[in-house]
Amino acid sequence: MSSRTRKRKLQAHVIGALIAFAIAVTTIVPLIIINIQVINRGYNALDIARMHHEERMLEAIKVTYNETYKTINITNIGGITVRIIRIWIKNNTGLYILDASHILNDVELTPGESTTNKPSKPIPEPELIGVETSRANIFYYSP
Amino acid sequence: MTHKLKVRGQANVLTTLIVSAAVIAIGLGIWAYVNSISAQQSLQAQIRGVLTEEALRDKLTIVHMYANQSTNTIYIYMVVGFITGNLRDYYFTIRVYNVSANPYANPRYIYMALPGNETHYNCTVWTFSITGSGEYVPQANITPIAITTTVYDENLNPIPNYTAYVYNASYYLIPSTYIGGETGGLILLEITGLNLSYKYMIVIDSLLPIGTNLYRYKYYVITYP
Repeated sequence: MSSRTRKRKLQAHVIGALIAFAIAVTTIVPLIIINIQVINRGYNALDIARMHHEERMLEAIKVTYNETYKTINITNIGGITVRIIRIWIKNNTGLYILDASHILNDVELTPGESTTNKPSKPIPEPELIGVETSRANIFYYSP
Repeated sequence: MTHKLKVRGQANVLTTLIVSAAVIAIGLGIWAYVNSISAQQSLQAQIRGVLTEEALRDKLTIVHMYANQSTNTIYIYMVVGFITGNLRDYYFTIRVYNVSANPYANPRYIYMALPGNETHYNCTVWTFSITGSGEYVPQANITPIAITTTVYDENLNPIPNYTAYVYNASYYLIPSTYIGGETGGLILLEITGLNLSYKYMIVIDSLLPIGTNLYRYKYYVITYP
């Protein structure tokens, strides 16, 4: 075999090795990087969801209604500050959904805090009162 | 002799060149094949990642539900939003099954679209507005949007005959502006035309548009009574 042929063969080997390296770099490596990114994003989302779930479970509200004074009393008996966004009142004429900021003096209640308020619109004989929080929990009171 | 050696040398060079060309061609072929598979796998991994993320962050909460026996109507109040506060448009479909009449309508199998969808009911999706006195009142109907593309399940498999089993063969879009607005994404599903002496199962599929297709990442099952 001539030295020129050996040289050509060596070149072929080098080109083959370069092609193999190019395949590895351009296909497998990005795939691994993307997979790692996807897994990390999944973990981040899981952390957020877990935190939200834990906070949601910590919410607890006691709701009472005074028939005489037509007032709603709300006490935060949970371990986390709650933000009340809606009050649901159902009676025999229908369902009323009321914006909490229109009814309550204070829509944010720290643990142990209590508020007593009168709905701006008189609701005769409520059958069910629901207090909904920003974490989409709803706590009911049935007289 | 010199001429013979020259010819032989040229033949060797030619053979080596052909081998090199073949090696390059095969190499490029393998590269193109592996690259296309790799690109496909990357895309699938990314879609799966997005679907998993949305399923974890999705927050469709049934806050209140009641039925009016005299009008055979079910009212479902839901809050639509995302845990992170990262507001996005929300897409969903509705499936309603009469459990008493349809033995397949079992939550165990509800991951797939099931035959026996009733056609006699009507469903209206309402958004709300707040009056000056702070009362939420139904404001407008959400217009159904006909599904014209393939709908895939959580495992990226196409769901056959999906449009045949969802209400109106359509999906509903709650815009992010409404979700992030003053009503905080409160919506109402009003399902009429039922016979409430039977048991019903309502399935809400959360969908995500990726490319030209719709992908389901979560479903909610509500039963009555």
